[in-house]
Amino acid sequence: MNLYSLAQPKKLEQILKTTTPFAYGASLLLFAIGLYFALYASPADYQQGDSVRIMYVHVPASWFALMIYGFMGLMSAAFLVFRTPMAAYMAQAAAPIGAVYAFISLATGSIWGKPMWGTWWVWDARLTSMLVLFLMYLGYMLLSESTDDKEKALRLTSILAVIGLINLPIIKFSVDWWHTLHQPASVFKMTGPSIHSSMLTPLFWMAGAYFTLFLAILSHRTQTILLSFKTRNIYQKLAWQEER
Amino acid sequence: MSHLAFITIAYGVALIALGGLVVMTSVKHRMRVRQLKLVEALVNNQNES
Repeated sequence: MNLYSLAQPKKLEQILKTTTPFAYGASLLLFAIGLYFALYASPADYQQGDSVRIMYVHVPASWFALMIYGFMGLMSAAFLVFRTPMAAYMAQAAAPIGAVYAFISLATGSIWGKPMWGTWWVWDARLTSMLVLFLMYLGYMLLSESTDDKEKALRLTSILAVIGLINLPIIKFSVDWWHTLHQPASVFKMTGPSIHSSMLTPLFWMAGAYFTLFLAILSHRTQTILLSFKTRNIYQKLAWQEER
Repeated sequence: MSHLAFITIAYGVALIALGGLVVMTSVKHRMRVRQLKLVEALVNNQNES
């Protein structure tokens, strides 16, 4: 199998049909293990107390909100360069997942902020750039629904996704570039993680769960898009037969 | 509010958001499957008549 064959809807549909149930199953299993560690088997923090457990839903959601946008940007660039519509459709399939992950990141961050910082929200660089990412997801989805011309919608959303990539390093390095209330990076940094392994374990299980859920929903949504192609093709054939 | 209340709200929000996304995805997929079946049935009827 080569990469080109993956861009063929029929081949892709076969692969997705087989892998989707496994991805959902893996995600369910990983969430069960992750929640066990997050809510029971990991210790409370000496300063934050049990509120540290909110981190296990907040941090992976934030990681993947960024990574999904990165994926959309790459797929959109592939569409603009190589003219493979399937890449742009996969970016469109990923958008609502990224939006929900960004929403979870903002909401759970805010819920953690109230007992820890004494406020639900501050306009610091990390929180604001994350809010911008969420708004970009919403803008992308609105734009894709804004016109009946599918070709035009694909082109416009792809350009928006590629331009929006500029926000990703801003989010990642905002805590280093500006003085923020949000704490600096403690997992992905040059000197290695500064979190104790008892807290890294639930974090990585939950990250695995979020990732496999992303794969499952992406695969499911891509199949839905392929089904709508089939329906549209039949409609077009019917219209063509009636014209004759 | 206690720590427990904040944790419950945070996990509840995440559960509702992720569960909602899975349900919406599934409902939309089933709608498309049904739509395709209806169109295929229409074509078969036309071909038979």
